[in-house]
Amino acid sequence: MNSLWIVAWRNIKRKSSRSAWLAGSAAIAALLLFVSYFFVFSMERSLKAGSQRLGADLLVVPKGVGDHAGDMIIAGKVSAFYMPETVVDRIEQIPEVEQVAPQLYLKTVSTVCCGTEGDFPVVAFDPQRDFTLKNWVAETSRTYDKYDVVIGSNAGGGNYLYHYDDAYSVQWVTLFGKEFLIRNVLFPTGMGTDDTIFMRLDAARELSGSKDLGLDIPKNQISVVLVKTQPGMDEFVKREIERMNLNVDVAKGSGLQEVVNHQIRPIKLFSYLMITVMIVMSGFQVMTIFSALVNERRKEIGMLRAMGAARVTAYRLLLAEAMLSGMIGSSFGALAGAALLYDNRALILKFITLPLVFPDWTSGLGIGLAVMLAVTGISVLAAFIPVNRILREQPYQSMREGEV
Amino acid sequence: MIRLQDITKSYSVNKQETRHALDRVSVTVESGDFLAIVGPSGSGKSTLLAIAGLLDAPTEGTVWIEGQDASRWSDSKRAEYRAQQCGFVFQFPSLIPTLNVMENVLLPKTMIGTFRPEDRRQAEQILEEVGLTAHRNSFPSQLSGGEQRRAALARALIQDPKILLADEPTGALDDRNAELIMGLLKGWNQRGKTILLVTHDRRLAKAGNRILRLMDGRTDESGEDDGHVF
Repeated sequence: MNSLWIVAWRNIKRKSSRSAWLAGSAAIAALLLFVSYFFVFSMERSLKAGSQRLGADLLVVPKGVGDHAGDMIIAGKVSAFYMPETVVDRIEQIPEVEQVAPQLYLKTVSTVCCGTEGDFPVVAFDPQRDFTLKNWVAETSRTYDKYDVVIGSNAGGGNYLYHYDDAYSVQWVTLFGKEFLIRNVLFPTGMGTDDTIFMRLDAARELSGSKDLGLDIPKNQISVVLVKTQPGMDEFVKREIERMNLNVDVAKGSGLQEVVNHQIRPIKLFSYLMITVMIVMSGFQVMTIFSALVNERRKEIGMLRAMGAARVTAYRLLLAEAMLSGMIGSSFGALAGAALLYDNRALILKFITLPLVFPDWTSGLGIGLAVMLAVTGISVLAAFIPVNRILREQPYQSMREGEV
Repeated sequence: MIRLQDITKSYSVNKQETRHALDRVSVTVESGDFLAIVGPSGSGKSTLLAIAGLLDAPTEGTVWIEGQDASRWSDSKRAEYRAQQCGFVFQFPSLIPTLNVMENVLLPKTMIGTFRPEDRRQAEQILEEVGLTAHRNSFPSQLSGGEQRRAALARALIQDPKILLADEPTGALDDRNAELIMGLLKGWNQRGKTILLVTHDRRLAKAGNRILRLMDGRTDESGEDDGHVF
């Protein structure tokens, strides 16, 4: 290791209170920055998930209900509209279509889900073809048996937290007279989906028709087909479907994305504003502290220059100290931020009713590293200003001023 | 050889008033000289020493070093000159408090990036000469005033400088420590090093082969009977 770095390290180690000031300010800056960026990242992730799900490039619904295509997704309103299931096969044959996912809107059911009584919209989906819900589930590796359900984040009420963090918890919900096992929970979307219960299509069809159970849906019918097209081909596929005369309306998913974007925009702007404020504030904070510390060491700096250290050498030594302190402090700050958020994520998701999809550990590590680099950079830049001021003096002046 | 020619150093007291710390002072220091700069407090002794060691720049006048106008040198060249040719000892505590004695002594080499493991042997020899071998791992706060001053002397010598500039090196020390340090300075001068000593003590000034007397920032030519007077 370069001997200048060793001297810098010794200075940090042996002046523990001075270093603690600097590292502490970097740690606070890193913690705040980590938390702010973490939330923005979570929101961005939820938007991405939203664009893959709600904005499945196209939504195909029966003729005449095109204006209400997104009602279930956005507002949680289950409307009884149906079209033949053969529509799915026809659409699937279009070469520019990558995936299709049928859903069947059943009805709003009053029941008790995880100990919470309420009215829950129930939707049937096909787990084999689904490319939408899987972007929102807490545990991606789970498979679904016939009588398993996935619930929205609010559908479980207070017990949602329990499900989220405990893979082995067993909760049941009664739907149409049948007990269903709650197999998975969706991340909050901030929309109607949060109250929805999703059951398998085959289970819904099996239960349908029995008057006692209160579920009566026409045979071989579906309510909506979510379509994923090849990139940039949504308009083309839309026209292809319309040309097929399937007696359907085709809505573009981008409209739904715009709704989500519109909902989330003020929060995003606020978060970015917060991040900017954090960066500026932490810069000033480090600058103020370093300014005081450098003033305290003015004589020492003069001495170093008397010994033959050129300005550039003194810069390197002092900025190396700022860098090491910033690095140590920001590592602790980012780590504390990560521990705080990951350890309490279920609680945070419960109390912050925002569409958030928390990043996995790898992304969290990436955010932590980015924050560490940013705060270290800020520390070095902030230290540069007071250091530069003192190094512009003649060495003798620094030594004499430092005597005061 | 160092030649200070018509050196003036001024400070602004306020918008109207300027104070001259030095006023057209000239002096030439030959290689191997032991020049004692004497005068009362505020006479400009330390400022002159700082200018001679390129730690400060004169407001007017020229500093000639080996025939070159050092006022025109860049910061890095001035730093290089200080690193390779000069050693400084100051009256105030000048050791870096976070480094132990050995690290302080080796610091000039570390700062300019010329440190090699064998330099430790040289540092050991110098520490032995100044009587601090037992304190090589002590921190400045663990040393007495005299020991700190001797450690600073050792640090000043690690680069084997041609010129040693000492500003009141015995200030606030007891007689025994003062004699010890003066003995070291005389010894090094006899071994060929040029010494510039600032002191207000006439007895110590007698150690020099030349004396420059300053009064209110000017060369005092009123005459002295205890040595050569400029």
